[in-house]
Amino acid sequence: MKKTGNTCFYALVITILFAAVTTHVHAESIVNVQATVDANKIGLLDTVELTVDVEAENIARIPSPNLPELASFNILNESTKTQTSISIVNGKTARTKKITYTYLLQPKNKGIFVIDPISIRYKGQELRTDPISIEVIEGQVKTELQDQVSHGESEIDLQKLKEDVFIRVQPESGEIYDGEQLLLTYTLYSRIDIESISLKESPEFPGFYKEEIFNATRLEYRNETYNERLYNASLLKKVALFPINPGRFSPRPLVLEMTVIFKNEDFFTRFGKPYTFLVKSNDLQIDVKPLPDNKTQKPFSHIVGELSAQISKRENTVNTGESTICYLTLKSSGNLNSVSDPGIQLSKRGRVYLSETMVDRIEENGTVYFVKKFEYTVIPEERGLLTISTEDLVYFDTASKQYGAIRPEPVEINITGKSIYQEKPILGTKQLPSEGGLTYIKRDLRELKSTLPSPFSRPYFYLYHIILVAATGILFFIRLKRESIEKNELVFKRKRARSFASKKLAQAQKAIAEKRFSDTADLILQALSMYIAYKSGKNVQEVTKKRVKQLLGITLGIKEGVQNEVYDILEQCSMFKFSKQSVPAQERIEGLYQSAVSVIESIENSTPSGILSGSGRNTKSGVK
Amino acid sequence: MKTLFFCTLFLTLTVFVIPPAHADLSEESARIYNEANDFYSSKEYNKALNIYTELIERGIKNPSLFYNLGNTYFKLGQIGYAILYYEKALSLKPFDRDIRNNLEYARRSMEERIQPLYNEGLFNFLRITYSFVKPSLLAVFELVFFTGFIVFSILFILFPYHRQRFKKQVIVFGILFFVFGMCAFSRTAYEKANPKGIVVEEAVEVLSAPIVESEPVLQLYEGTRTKVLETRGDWIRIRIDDGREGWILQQDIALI
Repeated sequence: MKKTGNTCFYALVITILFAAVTTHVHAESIVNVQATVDANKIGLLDTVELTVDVEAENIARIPSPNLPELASFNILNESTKTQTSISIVNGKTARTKKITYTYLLQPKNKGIFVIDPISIRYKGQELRTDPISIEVIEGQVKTELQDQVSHGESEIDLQKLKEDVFIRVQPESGEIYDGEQLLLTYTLYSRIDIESISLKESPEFPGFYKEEIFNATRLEYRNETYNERLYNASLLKKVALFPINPGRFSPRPLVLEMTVIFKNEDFFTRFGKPYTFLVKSNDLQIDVKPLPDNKTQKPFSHIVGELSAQISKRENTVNTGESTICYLTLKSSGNLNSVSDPGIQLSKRGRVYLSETMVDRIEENGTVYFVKKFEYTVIPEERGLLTISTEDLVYFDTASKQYGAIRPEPVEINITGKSIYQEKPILGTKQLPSEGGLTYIKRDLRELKSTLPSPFSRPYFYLYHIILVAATGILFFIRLKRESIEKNELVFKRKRARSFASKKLAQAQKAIAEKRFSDTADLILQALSMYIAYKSGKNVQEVTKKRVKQLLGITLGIKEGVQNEVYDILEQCSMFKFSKQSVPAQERIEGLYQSAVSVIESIENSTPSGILSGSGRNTKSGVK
Repeated sequence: MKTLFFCTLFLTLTVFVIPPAHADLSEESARIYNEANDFYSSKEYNKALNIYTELIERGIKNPSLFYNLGNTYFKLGQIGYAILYYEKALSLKPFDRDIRNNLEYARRSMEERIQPLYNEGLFNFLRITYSFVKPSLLAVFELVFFTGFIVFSILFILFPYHRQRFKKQVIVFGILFFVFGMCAFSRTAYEKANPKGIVVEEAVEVLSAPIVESEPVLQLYEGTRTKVLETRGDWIRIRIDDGREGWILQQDIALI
């Protein structure tokens, strides 16, 4: 039993090791999340910094943290900081990435509040931080301002200060339609002298498209009565908002840091004591109603508010093929930034390009109007009266609370010249399947393999080159060696040609002495054929009576007289060899022998040294 | 000689006919990829994105995967990442019309499109041609000419009586092999030395020096293509298509 258990254990270990080796080795991924605050006890006028650190090792894409609902705080600011470090430990590279999300929170009320755990999801697992408790008390607690207020903080009436200095944000309406314009005005009301003022946090409008109308660069006061009290009022900011979705939204407030001088009667504070504090705009809640259903059966332009449209032209008469400009101008209290090109229609053939889009803004009777001008380049291709028009533009009129349609007055241009329109499409262009301009996704696959960007990163690429070059190199050297051997053999034969011939002629001499004339003729024939074959680098069989003159003349460069002489010797020898009846007289056969010797001698002397290398040495020794 | 020939043939075939050792893994990846395609088709783009991203984290570099991920990012309104993955897909498959079509479509949605310095006539033609000629294509040509060079060299060696005939082919293929080899190598080395990146943040301020306090020289928007010239800590010096240069943080761009 124990043995079986051990076997199973080892099998498991081997399987794990095998799996680790055979699969792609991925470095172990570690993710940590931690949340901290810079203070657990703050004043109502203070801010608290919530820091969320997400640290991950060997992960390309770090998941974002999910913040819990922070109903008791306003998020004044968000920032992100990324740090990456690479460490090599025991030859293993670890890439650590740390993203720090910082949120600046401002409490809404006094009390003890708990920030619920912040979580991130990674590979199906949820990592959570500990909950954080924050106590909010009246006034200010935090260190920066603590020193300043350390002397007689209790002397400052914070409630009075709040009543004397505040920022008021006024919406035109508390309830609007999705896409409708909402103009917000931020005004500073003050009853005391402000020493200095600076912007701490700009207001944020999540869920809205924002268009800044006015931003104060200096305070310009006017007298204004609010709640039956006279204040110095200064316009700080004006912004036009356009809700993106229906729902209830709370924009983040505008926060200013200001310093005022308090003057008391006592000796130490007679000349005034500076006091710095934060002032934020009042909370705001905006209800955005969804638009009613569009029953016009026409596409909605997403313009909510008033709308007017106009088409204008640059020229009254244009030649075919020449470009002209026409404009479509939309003016609306709705958000025209989200309106794409409505397009224009031509009554005759021609090409239209949207060449430019201009957006402008004007303020009339307390309402901000947007003007969007689409500039079209029109190239008419057909002669006649060209009418330029648009389709109906459907918008939602907030005054009548119903959908309306508007069509601008068409304009006409007189087109002169010859019609030039083309019927054929451009070669090679093919209509692609499209989902609103975007081509469909690639279809399903049976196998998903990586494509290496370049063959240079593949070892096979280099291996292929090396193998072929090596094989060609080896082949080249083998061939070189073989050719060298063959050449050496030919040279050897050339060198020793007279020596071989001498041996045969010696045998022929012996045959003459023994009166074997037929054999003598054969031996002379052999000696001469062998000599010519070796000298010309040919086989003996190739030396025939028909080719002998050619070999002597072209290959060896022998004179015609010698050629004829060789030919005669070969012919006579052949005759003596094959004609058994005509037995040659001794004198004739000896004459043939002498002729053969002299012919070889004369060939030896007349052959060029380039062909017969080393022939001079044989010449000296002579034919015996 | 015959032995040598057969040995070479065997080794060459061994090089090109690779046994499908990872067939199971690629089938499993394809199954997951197809699942992501289903999510995409049913407009569950976030789910599709998670699966495509997981496949990429596994180290798969496939043009179809990059292309579909680009589409998903586009649908989610993240133009920068969409363009990044279309560019990645295009680098692997430069002749794919769908990728080029969607890349162009995504670029039209950019806040501001940077036009190259010389954008007309011959310059435009050369730039388009250059975009097709990737190192992989050059390497294919190099391989073809190298093979031709080797074949004619062998014929030149084996048939001494026809050397005059093969001599011309050996020289021509040799020159072409050398030229394309040099082009492929230099293009690869250049791309490695000057990688390209895409701005993935909505708007990025390009500074004149690698310090936060330096003057901003221009603003780039999501999807802008940049060339990385120099890296210094967390900062990189970039050049955009119109020739302007500046410093941005590394996290603002993703390399192709």
